[in-house]
Amino acid sequence: MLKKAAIMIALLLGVVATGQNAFAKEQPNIEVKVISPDQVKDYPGKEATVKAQVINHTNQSIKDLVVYITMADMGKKWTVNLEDYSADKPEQIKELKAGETKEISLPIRFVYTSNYYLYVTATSAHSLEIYSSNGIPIEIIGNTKIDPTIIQIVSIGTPLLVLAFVVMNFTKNRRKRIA
Amino acid sequence: MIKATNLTKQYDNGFVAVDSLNIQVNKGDIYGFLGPNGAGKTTTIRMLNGLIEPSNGKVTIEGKEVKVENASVSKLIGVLPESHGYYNWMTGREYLKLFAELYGVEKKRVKSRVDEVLEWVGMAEKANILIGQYSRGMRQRIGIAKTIVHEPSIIFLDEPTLGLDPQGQKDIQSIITRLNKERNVTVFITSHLLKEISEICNRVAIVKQGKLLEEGYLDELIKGYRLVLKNENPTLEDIFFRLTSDEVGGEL
Amino acid sequence: MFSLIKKEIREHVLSRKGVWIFFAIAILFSGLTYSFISVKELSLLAQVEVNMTFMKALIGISILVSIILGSTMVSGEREQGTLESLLLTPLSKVKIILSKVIGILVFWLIISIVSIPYFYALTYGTNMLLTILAYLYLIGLPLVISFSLLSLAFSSWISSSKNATLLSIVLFLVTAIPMFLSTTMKKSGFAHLVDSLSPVSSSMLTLKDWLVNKLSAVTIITDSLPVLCFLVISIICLFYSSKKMDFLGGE
Repeated sequence: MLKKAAIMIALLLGVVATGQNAFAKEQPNIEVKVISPDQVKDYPGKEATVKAQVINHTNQSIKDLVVYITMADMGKKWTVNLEDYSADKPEQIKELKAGETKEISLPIRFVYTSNYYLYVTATSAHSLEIYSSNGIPIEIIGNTKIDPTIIQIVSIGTPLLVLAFVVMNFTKNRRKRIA
Repeated sequence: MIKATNLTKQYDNGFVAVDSLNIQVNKGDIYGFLGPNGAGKTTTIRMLNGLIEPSNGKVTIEGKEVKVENASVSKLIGVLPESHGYYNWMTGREYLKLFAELYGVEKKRVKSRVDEVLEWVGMAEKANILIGQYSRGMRQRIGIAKTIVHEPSIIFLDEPTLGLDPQGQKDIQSIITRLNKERNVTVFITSHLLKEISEICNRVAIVKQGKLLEEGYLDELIKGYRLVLKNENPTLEDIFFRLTSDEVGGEL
Repeated sequence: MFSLIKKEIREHVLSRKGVWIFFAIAILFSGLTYSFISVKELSLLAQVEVNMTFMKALIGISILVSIILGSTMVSGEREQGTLESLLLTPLSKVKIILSKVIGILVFWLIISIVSIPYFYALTYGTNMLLTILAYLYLIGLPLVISFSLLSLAFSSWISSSKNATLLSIVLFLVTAIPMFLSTTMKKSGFAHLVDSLSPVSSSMLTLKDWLVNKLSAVTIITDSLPVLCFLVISIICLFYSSKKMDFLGGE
């Protein structure tokens, strides 16, 4: 009896679980996919063009879509100011017909050293639903070409040189004053 | 020779600073240009120098017409403006060298010329000290040295003894007289000190409110005013006050 | 005229005030450069960004120093009573002004020379140094000249050097406003107008397009057009104001 009951419960749970699974996998109205790059690992200053596909899965056309890059700084646990990365201009899609797929390119320049997740988001002016792609990992490695020793030498040496000039000038004028 | 004909300056606001002035300064004159405050003395000097454009009339110096930014006239004249400023960070010698060069004194002659004028004004020993450390009298001497550094035939001195002590005034007077006698430099001078003017000038002009009241040789003027002033020995001061005082001004 | 140029250089560049300004600027540059390796946020910047930031600071300081110098040059002579003596010399007004412009340029040239070691350190390991120097002398120089000319024009127009300095600084701030505004604010309205007309903004855009975006020469020249226009306008303004150069009243 107990065994039967257990089997029944297991089956029921299975149905519920499968149902949930089926619900979770239901296609969204709009799908956003990042086509390229699949990851970035480079120095600051690296420029990239993020290519993404926007697919309309509904049987109605969707108007006035705005597609843009979003980035989260996973190192500092911040969102980023996209203006610094020259990525604050969204792409606009005037109309995405039923079942249509459009490809868009969004430029970005990685400025600061850190680890990021980059994803593309689409939203329409006529709906409050937001659709985002999966993230791609971005790793911007520290800029190592500036040599701290040279910086230190220049930062100390140049003012000293100018100071020597100041002192020279001062003594020259002083000589004139006591002449 | 300086000749101003019908010289007039009317400013944009309608104020007439100089009104139809006719004067003539002959070669070798020490010409005193007198008038109370606001008589238009400085404006006249500026028009004679070509610093400002007259509204009417014209000025000629040694036969050349004076125009604003006329380099050929600038070289003929030396000017010591009223409340003249100095580059305090320069030494007297550097200051004179600068102006000698600006006036186009020949490069190889600059040094000797500067030394010469320093001797003339009695500043040779102090020549290498910063002007900022000079007394007022010393500054004025350097100012006169600057005025003559390019060997002009005519010099304009606007209140050259202003603010100087009696000894300083005397020194400047003697420099002016020597310049006139020994170098034959024509001098056009304005001053409030009538005694000073009567001591050094041979000709004078008296102006008031931009108008010429009297002009002539000093001794002739004095002769001419004996009767008017009922005084056997009238001074320039007497004549000046007679002409410029408000009650009788301009009656003569 | 050469003597007058020499005088301007001695008075403003080699004077005690002048050399102390160079020292202060060197200290400022050192502080800024050192912060690129010591301040964490700045040390994370891309090298090209580091150089752009330094260039912006250099241009800003250069303009400020030149306008302060320019705006006091003529009115300063007027206030200390030396202008009249200069105007009495056979030199024309334009030549007098030109000597002053050259004085400011020599001052700026020294600032730019002081900045070279810093640029060397900051561009180390890259091939940016030549581009940076080309930008500094091709775009930075006309910009500095323009501001100096305008401040000299104000200095000739306005009898008080304080007012001339104030006016020059206000002009600089108005043209530099877009640097302090966000991209969104610059997209419309007055800020957009200032941004599109300002020679300072266009010099910054030129810098970005040249150094970062590596755009074509045509784009860079187009970007820098407002700087050139500004230079032409400044020359015209100065030419007219030099005619108005006057001295203190007499009696």
